[in-house]
Amino acid sequence: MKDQLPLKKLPPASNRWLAIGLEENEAAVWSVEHITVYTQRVLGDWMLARTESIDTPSEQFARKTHSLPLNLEWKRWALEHEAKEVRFWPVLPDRSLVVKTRIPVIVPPKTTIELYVNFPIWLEVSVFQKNEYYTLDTIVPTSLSNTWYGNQYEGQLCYALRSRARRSLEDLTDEPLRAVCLFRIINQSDDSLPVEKIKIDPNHLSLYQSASRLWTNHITVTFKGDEEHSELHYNSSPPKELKKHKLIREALDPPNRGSIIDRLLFRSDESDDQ
Amino acid sequence: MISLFAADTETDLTLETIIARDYWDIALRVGVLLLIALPACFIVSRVIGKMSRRRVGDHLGILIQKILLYGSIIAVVITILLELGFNLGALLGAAGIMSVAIGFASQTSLSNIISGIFLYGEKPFAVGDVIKIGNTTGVVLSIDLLSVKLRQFNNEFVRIPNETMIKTEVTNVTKFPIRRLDVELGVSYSSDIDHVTKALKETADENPFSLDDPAPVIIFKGFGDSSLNFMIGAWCEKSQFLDLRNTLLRDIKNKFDSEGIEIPFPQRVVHLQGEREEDQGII
Repeated sequence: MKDQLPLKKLPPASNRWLAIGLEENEAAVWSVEHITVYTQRVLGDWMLARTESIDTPSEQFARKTHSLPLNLEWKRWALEHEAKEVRFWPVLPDRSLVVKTRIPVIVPPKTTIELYVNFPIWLEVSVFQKNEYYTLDTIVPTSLSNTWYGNQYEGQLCYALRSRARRSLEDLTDEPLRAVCLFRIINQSDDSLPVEKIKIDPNHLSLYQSASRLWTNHITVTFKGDEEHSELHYNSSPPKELKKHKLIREALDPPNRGSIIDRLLFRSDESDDQ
Repeated sequence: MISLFAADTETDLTLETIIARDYWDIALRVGVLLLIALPACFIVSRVIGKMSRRRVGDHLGILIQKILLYGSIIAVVITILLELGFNLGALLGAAGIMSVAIGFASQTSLSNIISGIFLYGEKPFAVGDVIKIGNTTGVVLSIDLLSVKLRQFNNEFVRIPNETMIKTEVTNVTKFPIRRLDVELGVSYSSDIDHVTKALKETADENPFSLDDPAPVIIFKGFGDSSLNFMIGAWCEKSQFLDLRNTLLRDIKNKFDSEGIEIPFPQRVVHLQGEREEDQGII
């Protein structure tokens, strides 16, 4: 496939998420990592197709195109109102995430630590009609495995997220389809705290674009001991260290008055079923 | 004479008019009951049933709806019979005598009704659950006074009397939100047990429907006739059970193929007595 229009290469992160105006019979392609999305306007309808490559291409791009691969599996949306703009926008997963550290992190007594966790990002493709965006499709770049938060009798189906839980921002690589979340873990108790898993509700998370990557609002975990009530706060802003940023997606259920407190579970419940 | 005749005629006409008017009144009242009260029974019971289902669940909601429907229909029928001038006392007397005979004849039905009441009280399953009774597995469509109705997965309708439900072991497959799929399999005696365990663990971990937590269970069950026997139990959300079963079995086969783990056929080593003697002779 050779495109006739000039490439519009995307800078590393800041313009990765964008909207492209398309006239009738025009097409566009958006590619980041192993995902490539094609879209076109045909007789007022919008069509969408996606491909995945095993090898990650070195370049990321979004552009209009005149030639489309032949073997694409298209989906078609018949809209009532005319839409001339398609938007490729990040969105967090639709279920809660249970973050597990690859190796349990032990927080000594009376200690505060910070961990950086990469959350997976999905791609939302929407068109602009009647003064609002209508979502055509949500593309899941990497499928996450399921996990259960609760016991055998009740609980919640969540996505499992294994994280290296990095201590330093410099250790994080720029992964386009990831958003960084800063966890500040405060162990106020007199005991060591092994952090094995934490459940996060993406509905309380907003997405911010910095020059280099996506961020979420930061989370503060306060552990007061096994006997005391521990807290998980969804703060209403990204970390203070992030000077320049732009809010690009507000949380569905935004934190009020600074934070939302959630129930907290640090350790895995051992199942005795065989 | 003329005046008397006239008076008689007038009297007759008046009686006829009265009788006719009474008939019309009765017909009107019966008509109203049939046209308004009877449909109202269906509508009101359905509305209240729907409200009850929202508040107390499908199980009790359906029961309330049916009791209301049948109770109100009986009330309407009794009212119509009274309007038509039937002596219900006599009818009930006759019914009392007949009830002994009917009682003997309807032992099974009564047993089903009583079993149905126990089922309502015990609530071992609810409408929408998947249950297994003997060789029958299906989705519960309704729990009625006499029977439980199921839809099997091949779309066959099954009616199971409540008495049978009480007497038989019933498995509620979807009672809890997560289920475990147990797969038993055998591998060749030449296989390394740790290698097989690791391969099974990786297979479950890589399957998108297998829950990460609770962790999959992998058990080396023992030494079979022709194979080392293993069991893998992978958990999934109950609605994804079929997806897990379809993908996990395929994934295990693919994993074993790629790891060079053999799933053996049943084998028998047969020693023939004559051959052994001959062999001994050679030696």
